Amino acid sequence: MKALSFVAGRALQGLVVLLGVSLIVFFALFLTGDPAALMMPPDASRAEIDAFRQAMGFDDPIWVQYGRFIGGVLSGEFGNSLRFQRPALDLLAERLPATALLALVALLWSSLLGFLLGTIAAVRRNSAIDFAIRVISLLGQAIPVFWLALVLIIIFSLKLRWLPSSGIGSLAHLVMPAIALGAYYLSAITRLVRASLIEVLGENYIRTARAKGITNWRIIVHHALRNAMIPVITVQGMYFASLLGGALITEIIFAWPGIGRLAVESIQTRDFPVVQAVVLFTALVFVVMNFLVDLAYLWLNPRIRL
Amino acid sequence: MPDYWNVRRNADAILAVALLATIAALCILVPLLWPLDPIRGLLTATFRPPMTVVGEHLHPLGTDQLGRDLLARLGLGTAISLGIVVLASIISVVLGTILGMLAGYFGGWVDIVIMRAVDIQLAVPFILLILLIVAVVGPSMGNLIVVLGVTGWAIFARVARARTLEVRELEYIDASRAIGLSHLAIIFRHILPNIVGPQTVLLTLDMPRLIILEASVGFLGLGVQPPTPTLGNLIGEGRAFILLANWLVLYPGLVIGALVVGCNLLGDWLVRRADRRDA
Amino acid sequence: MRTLKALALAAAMLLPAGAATSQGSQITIARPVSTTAMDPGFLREAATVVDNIFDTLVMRDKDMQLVPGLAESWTAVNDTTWEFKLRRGVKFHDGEDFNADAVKFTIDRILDPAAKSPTLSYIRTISGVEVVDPYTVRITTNGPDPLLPTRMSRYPAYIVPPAYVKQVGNDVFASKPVGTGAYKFVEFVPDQHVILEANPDYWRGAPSIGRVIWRAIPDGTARLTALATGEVDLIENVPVDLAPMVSQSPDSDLVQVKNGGLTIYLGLVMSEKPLDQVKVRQALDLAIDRQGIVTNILQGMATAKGTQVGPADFGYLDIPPAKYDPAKAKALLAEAGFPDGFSIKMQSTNRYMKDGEVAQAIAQQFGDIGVKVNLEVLDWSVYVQQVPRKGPIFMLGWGSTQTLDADAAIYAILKTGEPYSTASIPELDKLLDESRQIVDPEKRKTVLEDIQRLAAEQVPLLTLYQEDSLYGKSKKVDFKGRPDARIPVFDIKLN
Repeated sequence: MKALSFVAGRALQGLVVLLGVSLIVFFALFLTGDPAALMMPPDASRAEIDAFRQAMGFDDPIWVQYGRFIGGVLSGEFGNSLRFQRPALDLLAERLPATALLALVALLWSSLLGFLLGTIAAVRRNSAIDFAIRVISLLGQAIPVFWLALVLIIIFSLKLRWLPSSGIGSLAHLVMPAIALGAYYLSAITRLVRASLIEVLGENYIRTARAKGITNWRIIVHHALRNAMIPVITVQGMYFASLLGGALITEIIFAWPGIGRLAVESIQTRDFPVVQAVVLFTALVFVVMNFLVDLAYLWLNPRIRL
Repeated sequence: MPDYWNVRRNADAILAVALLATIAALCILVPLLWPLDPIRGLLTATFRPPMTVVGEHLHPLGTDQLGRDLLARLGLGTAISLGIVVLASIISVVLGTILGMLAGYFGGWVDIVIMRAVDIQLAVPFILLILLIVAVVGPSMGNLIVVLGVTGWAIFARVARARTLEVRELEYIDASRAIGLSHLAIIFRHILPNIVGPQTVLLTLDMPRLIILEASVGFLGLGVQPPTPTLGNLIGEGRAFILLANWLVLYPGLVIGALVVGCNLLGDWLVRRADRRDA
Repeated sequence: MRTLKALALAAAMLLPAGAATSQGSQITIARPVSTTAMDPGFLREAATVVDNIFDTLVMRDKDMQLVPGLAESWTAVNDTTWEFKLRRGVKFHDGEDFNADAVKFTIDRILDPAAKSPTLSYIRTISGVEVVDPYTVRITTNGPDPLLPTRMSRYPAYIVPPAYVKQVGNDVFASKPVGTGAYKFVEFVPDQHVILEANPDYWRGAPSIGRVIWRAIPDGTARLTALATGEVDLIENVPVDLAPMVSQSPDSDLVQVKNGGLTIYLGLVMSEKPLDQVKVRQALDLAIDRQGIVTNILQGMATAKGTQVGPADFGYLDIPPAKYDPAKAKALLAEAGFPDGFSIKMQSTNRYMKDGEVAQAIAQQFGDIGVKVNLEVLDWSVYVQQVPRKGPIFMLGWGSTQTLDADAAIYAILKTGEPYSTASIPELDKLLDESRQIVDPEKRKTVLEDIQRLAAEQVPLLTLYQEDSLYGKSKKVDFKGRPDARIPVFDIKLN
């Protein structure tokens, strides 16, 4: 019963968050101005622009437009993209696999390497290796994504000619975007794993295990890492929304056909339905991720009770 | 002997101080003492590599696409970026701390409303939000500070709330309530002092995020207006010339790197000291 | 299941796109912007890709002369009626016949107010289309329109197949276009590529290049790298500073189309003080070192100019740019009552060649004569909504591209009350209106030249320079570049 009401409560909270996001996005977009002016050719007359605006419904009062928008969303209908003349949801769905692939691969390599480096740093705490890993992982956070992306292109495509510079189409195309996007997470995960592992290693039950003569690596793998994962996973959930932010710049530079690029181009052209669909979708993913994180707590640490 | 003099244990703090002191020198001394103008350039001396002499002036870091001295621009730009980041942080911390304390102290509806607002804030990708807001209010330094500040409060609110929940249960808070102190007085006199420490640490760890964010906003051309330099503008404008004049993005990149590493190391060191004190 | 499907789809994306062709030669072209939709009647972007799938009644050859396209000939029957004789035996890619009905359908579809075509304004002078016989149409206009044949040479007037469009609807047509052009549509994956294939039955003969792949690479450095590594064969919009890298590389050439781009100018909101004073405007005009900007910032990839009309446009008058003379500018300011200058806001954007840098340089040059400029460089999406009303000084690019007539280059930005005009000079308005009522080319040319002379005296705006357009191509591609910015793959040869 408890679990059920927990799930129901979370679902309700999630809905509230989504509604709030929809309000923010809708009104922010409304304030950014008139898409008609952007979509008409420069020598269109005022009358033609006005007629276009009226035809698209941009003339109605804002609450009418919001009502229409929410009504549409509830029936799974975000309206047609003003730019592509196709349903916004279709555009999103088409680009989702590319972003999902990029994000998963970036998250995967950075998590694996991050856990490895973080564990080494924690075990060899305060050694030279620890210090080196910490500084290197800080650098990962210090390098802006666009800077890293351009440097990668220059080195691996232009100079060495090992990798294709942009686009999608083979595994080789995936390498640089995944490195650029994953670098920040590598740093974040390394630091988190190190910090939480150090904390866990200091706790009594680990000391007990050690006293029992269980070897160091066994302790780390079987006991410590499992517990150290809790804060790591929490932060993963929180970082997720910013993943799209990073993906956005990565996708633009590498001409990767994902939703980040779609989002930016849609904001720039005031393609309202698409921006709304992308932001609400990201928020949905965020809500679901955090929900999964909550469930993961239960699984990872039975001591936490609902 | 206090252990801050232990070089091995405090290697991070020493490196942090060295890095931050260098940056401080850059953004104080260069704008004050360096004779070259960061805004006016010589159109006939564009893209000169570092250590070039033009006329009687040496350009230690070279010149940019409009023939302006990069060292002068980097000094001023770093100072302006730091100003933006610090002011934005103050807005975030103040907003986040107050809302977090209110949520933690009063609980109930106040808590629910504030924490859902936190979730909403975190659910919208930062960059998209900033793109939208800047598109509405127009780009300017003031707007940028407010936007960065207002979009960064959520994490501070979370921490403040958690800490308030802990402190609220302590006996002396009950006692204050018993002697009839107002809610406001309790919050500011008794709860706030317990939150300042953790928030300071969080602040040093959040600064790098803001520095990168300012750079990204500059990269997208939505930040402070040219010709005023900021770290973000310098890299954002210089990136188009990365194949031709890599120093334009290299040096601002190094400064960002030094700042981020410095802040983080300092933050780590503060966390460690706090832990040691707790223990 | 959904997830599995998505992942399978993602994995499929990693396979090489549309496996190698047996058709032999192939060209890959990279543009900075993605193709979004390919219905020529409803474009919101340049017609570069569409131009290869569809034909117009009238075409421009490589010297920009109007030549027969789908129409074999055209004549003005009277002041407001044009008759087009159509080419026989032309078929759309799906086998449908091209005839007068297709022409009428094409134009009616755009003129229909309910259709909300964004490019309606390009053909708004048309009042009706009449089918005389299957290969003769008459197009009537609201008033005399000397530019009608020109209007029939560019979008939205690409001829579309009536039966197919009616059958699939506008939305499907936009993603699966069918035309009469040199290339047939094969595949469109948004944000990735558009693939076209040679039309062996093309009425001008089969194209020599078998397959065309259009890609979008927004970042300039990445686009250039793709050319350098041979991933693409031709790129649009080479960043000016990187142009030497393209021309010096052993594998690539720079194609510089002199005056192929827009004419950049500073608009002045003349209703704002002190821009209402002609001496102030003249002073600002003299304060700009156009040649310095062109040489040092634009690396010579533009031409300093004194008129908004391009050299290739009908009606062009060669007016030299204002001579850089800060001393005289200062004197004029003093005469106008501003011996110490004044402060003013200037807006610009990042859309044209290094316009952000140019705006900063001009702000500095205005500063030299005492005019303190508060510069605002806005994102295009914000800028386009504020220009031209905010200003009071703003930078904009304008051109007559694809009409190649002075009218398009000047009317909209000089005539009082036009959406993009901030000028207000009654004498100029009179001439501008006159120019639109004359059909006789010689008389019209004289009026157009008078307009440019008067504009140079009164300085309703500050003409800066005309951009060149820059392409990068691999050595094996034989491509010259055109002043109207089209890339007709039919005319490209591979060595």
